[in-house]
Amino acid sequence: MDAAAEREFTEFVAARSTALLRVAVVLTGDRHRAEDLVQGALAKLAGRWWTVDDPGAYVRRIIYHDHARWWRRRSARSEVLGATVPEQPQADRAVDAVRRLDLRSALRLLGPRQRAVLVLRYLEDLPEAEVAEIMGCSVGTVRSQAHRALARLRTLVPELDERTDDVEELRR
Amino acid sequence: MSIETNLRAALEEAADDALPVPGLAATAWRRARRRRTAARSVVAVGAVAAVAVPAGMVALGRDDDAPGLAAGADIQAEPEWRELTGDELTAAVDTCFAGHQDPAEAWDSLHGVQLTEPASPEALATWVVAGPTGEELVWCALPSGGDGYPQLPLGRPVVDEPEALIVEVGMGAGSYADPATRVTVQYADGPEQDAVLWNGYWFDPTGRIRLIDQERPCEGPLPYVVRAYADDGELLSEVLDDGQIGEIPSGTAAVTCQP
Repeated sequence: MDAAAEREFTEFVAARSTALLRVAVVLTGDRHRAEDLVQGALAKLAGRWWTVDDPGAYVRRIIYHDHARWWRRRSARSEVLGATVPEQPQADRAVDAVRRLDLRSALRLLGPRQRAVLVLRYLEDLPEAEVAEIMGCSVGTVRSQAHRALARLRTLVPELDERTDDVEELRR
Repeated sequence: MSIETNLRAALEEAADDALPVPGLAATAWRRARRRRTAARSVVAVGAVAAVAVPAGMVALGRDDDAPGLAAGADIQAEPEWRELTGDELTAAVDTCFAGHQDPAEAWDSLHGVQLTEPASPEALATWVVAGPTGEELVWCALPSGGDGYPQLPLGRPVVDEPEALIVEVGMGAGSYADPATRVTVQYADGPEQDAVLWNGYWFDPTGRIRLIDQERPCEGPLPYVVRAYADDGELLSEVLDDGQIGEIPSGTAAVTCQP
């Protein structure tokens, strides 16, 4: 590991770490867990710095797979995931804010694959082909997972599909 | 607003929770250096979830006179086993993944293998393999008696270039690939035994592996050794589990121990 490689790696991290941490925080729903996830992924990237063609895609793959593995270990233990979205906040809050809060809660109820698809598609705005490459699946699988994830969100937070004024009317 | 618009706003808002982490690059670089140093010094599992040992690395860090490491002669034949029926597989999947994710939705393929005469009711004797779907492969192992907690489902990436031998720590199972055609399992005090082989996966013929945690360290005659051989008998790969509890992301530990 020579100084030039370390300098390149440091520049890469400086340029990308904010975006990686943002992705990880949404994937995990926990800032500290997200920092551990990114730290671990960057350590793996550092170990293969000379052999990786696209470090951005590589580190995203590691983050996704490590999170999926952690999620399954966690879900195999005693922790029981909630079956419903927590109660909505007070009705006098802005409807869109209510929706987003509900949506964040609902996102935690999705499996790692479905959540990853939504994060990569709607937070990172990556094309389906790139999402498929990161997740190691076909474009068709990305589409079907996104479709199922949105369908699940619609079930968990039905108001999401309604127009704002309609919802405001309903809340009055 | 459409669900997509609300979703983007919610994701952006959630992402704003992220804060800069000082020294991220330097810490990652140091960790990578430590990992490379450790990899040179020993071939042992327990500190990582899945271990692949390519051919040519078998002699690293091992003592040729150590008990349980002599490969070759007097290998016992694999036990009787069978694939699970559809109903059995459904029941096993329910036990493994109940209340979490619908496996039929999450994975494109599911398979199950069972030892027909397990060593004991506590022995692991049924394995479910989900996938591979893309790069993902998920394992679950169940005690033969049907009661008891399943071994943790373990999702892991499928490697681009299959290794001769991969050991999924704590699962009593793993995968093998060309040029390996034979996989054996051996405890320090026992004979070397042929593993059950099915479709590129191997399964512990004794079912003696179990999951422990930080509060219950290993006891008994370790190490536990898994070996892969080529068609001509050449030892290609050897993975040693010395029972050391390692760090895994969830903060729990998975190691293989004598029951």
